Amino acid sequence: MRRILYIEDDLDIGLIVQSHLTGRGFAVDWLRSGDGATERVADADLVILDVMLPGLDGFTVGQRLKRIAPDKPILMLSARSTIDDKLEGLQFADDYMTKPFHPDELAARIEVLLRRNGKADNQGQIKLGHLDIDLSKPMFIDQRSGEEIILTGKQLQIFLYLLRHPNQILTKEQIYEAVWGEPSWDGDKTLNVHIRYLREKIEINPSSPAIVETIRGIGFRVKQ
Amino acid sequence: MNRLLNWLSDARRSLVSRYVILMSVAVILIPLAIIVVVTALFLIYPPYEKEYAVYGGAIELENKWHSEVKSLGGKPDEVIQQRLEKLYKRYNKATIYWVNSAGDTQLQLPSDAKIQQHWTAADAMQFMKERPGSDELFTIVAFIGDQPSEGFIILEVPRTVITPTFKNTTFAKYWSFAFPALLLIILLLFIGASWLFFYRISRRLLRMQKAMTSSAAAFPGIPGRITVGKQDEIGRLEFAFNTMIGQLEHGRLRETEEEHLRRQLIANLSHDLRTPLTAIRGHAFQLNEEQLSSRGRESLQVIDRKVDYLSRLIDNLLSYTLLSAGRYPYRPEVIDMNRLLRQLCANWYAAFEQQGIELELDAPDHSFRWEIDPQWMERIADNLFQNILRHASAGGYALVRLYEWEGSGYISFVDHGPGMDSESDEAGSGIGLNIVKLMAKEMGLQLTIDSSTAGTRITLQGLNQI
Repeated sequence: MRRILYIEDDLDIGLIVQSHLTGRGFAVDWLRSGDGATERVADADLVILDVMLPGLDGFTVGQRLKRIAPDKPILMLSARSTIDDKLEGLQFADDYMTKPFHPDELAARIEVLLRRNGKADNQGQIKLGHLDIDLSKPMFIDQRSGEEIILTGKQLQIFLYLLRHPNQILTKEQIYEAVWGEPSWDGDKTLNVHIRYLREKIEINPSSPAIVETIRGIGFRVKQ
Repeated sequence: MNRLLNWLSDARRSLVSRYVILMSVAVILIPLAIIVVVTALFLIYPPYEKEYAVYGGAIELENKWHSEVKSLGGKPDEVIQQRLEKLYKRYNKATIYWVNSAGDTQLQLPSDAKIQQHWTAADAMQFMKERPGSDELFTIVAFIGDQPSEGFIILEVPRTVITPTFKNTTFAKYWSFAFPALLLIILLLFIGASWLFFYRISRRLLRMQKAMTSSAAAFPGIPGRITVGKQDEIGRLEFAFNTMIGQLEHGRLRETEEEHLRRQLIANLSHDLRTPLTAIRGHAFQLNEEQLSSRGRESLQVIDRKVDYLSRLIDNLLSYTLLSAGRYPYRPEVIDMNRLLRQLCANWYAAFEQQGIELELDAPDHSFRWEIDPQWMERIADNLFQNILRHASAGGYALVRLYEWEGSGYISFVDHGPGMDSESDEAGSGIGLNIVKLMAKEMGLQLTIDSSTAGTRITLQGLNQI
């Protein structure tokens, strides 16, 4: 079971979020202030942190937690919505969500953060169209034939990057920079070429792709 | 009495009185100095040749000669002769004739002097008439003793030895340039003192000017304090200047405090409004999990939508307040607009998809760059997208188009909705567009809005960066 350390002082919101996340199969450790958070962060897979807290504010608590456990994803969940607040929060936090949030969106963002951190709920087992995917290996099996699909280095990196950000539209610059590790330049077609080769391997019909979706002019998306 | 003393001590500290003193000294000193200089020059370099000093002036010589000769009255001839020879040694430029009571020339010094040997009364008369008028010789005729009968002694000296001459004397040599030179030095001293007086004033004024245009580290835009020098008019000005700086600093401090408080207040207000909204949404969501009629679910959807709307409104109100007060943080950088707009479209795509709106991005291969704050641009795009979602979803289509024309970049947000004049069920979108207008203006972008019943096109035009 995946554990979430939730720090929130508002009783109403706290109860709703706790019950919602518990209903989705998370173990929620809810604190009403930042006191004791540093002792309990080790047991959690993810931290949800409010900003306005009695005693130490959320930014300070978050920075402390990040110092103790740098790998632990922190999601700021705050009613403070100014750019300055967001920028301050994102200096250490992995995500910043403003209230009033949608409970489903919160759950989705938690999933994304956990998956990025290798804590997916299905231990990396995904079914996607005709593909069985095991992210932990990683391995891709065509359900129809039971055969493994072998991807080249760049194809694998591109596909994994899309899989780790499910339902998110990733621009070509984002993908290029994540995979190649260098800034992309205007009119570069390298990524398109690699996507075409990737689709030839994983799509049933590469000319009308069902797994890696093209969002015209914007980027690519893998829906789950 | 006290008031007089005060006035005096004030006067000493005043520039005006110092200037008056300077001028008075000059007015009194210049003539005085001229007198002193002239006297000194006469003493050091008398206007006579030194060797002629023994003769003195004409009157002095005449008086001396008369009394000398008078004292010889009744003396034997030998004594007179000795005396005259002695006198001749002293007045060696002179010629001396002694005519005795008989009218004969008894002695002439030097002996080769040409003079008649016998004097009649007529001769004497003629001599007396002619000689004193001579240009070259100065003649004194003195009678021996009290009676003319004892004879007379004539002293003749060249006029040059008794007349002060300015030619070829040391006095003349020095005098001709010493007097003007000394006068010049005095004048220069006065000019120098005046110059120093005004130079020091000007230097202090310049120091103040420099201080006024400088900026202290602690308070940008406010000059630093200056050290007060003398207690005169400028000193008082410096003191007043420092007082003013103090007030400015105080004002700035209070202003930043108030600004901080206001921002804090707005931020807290926004926070306090959002917190209950979050609870409302949470409960609506929980309610949605229960068994509900379709009407109940519809109500929940309305609640959900209104929560969204309220939350955006709060956000926009907060932004608008800060923006119109010029307090919205602005951090411009040169931004690749293609890339930024692509990212923004990606963020919104899912929301458009959900509403059944096709969102398209039409961007050229070659991007253009603007110097803007990406956060502001994001805010602009968010508000425009939000408006399309809320008011123009009926059109089912939205286009973001980037293009270049004549050195300018253009970004158009196009929808096929019913246009801005149409009645919308969710009024109050004005503030979102107002923020767009304000932000565009602040960033130097031109905003054009074309709206008809066939749709709306909002275009931003900006100067491209090379």
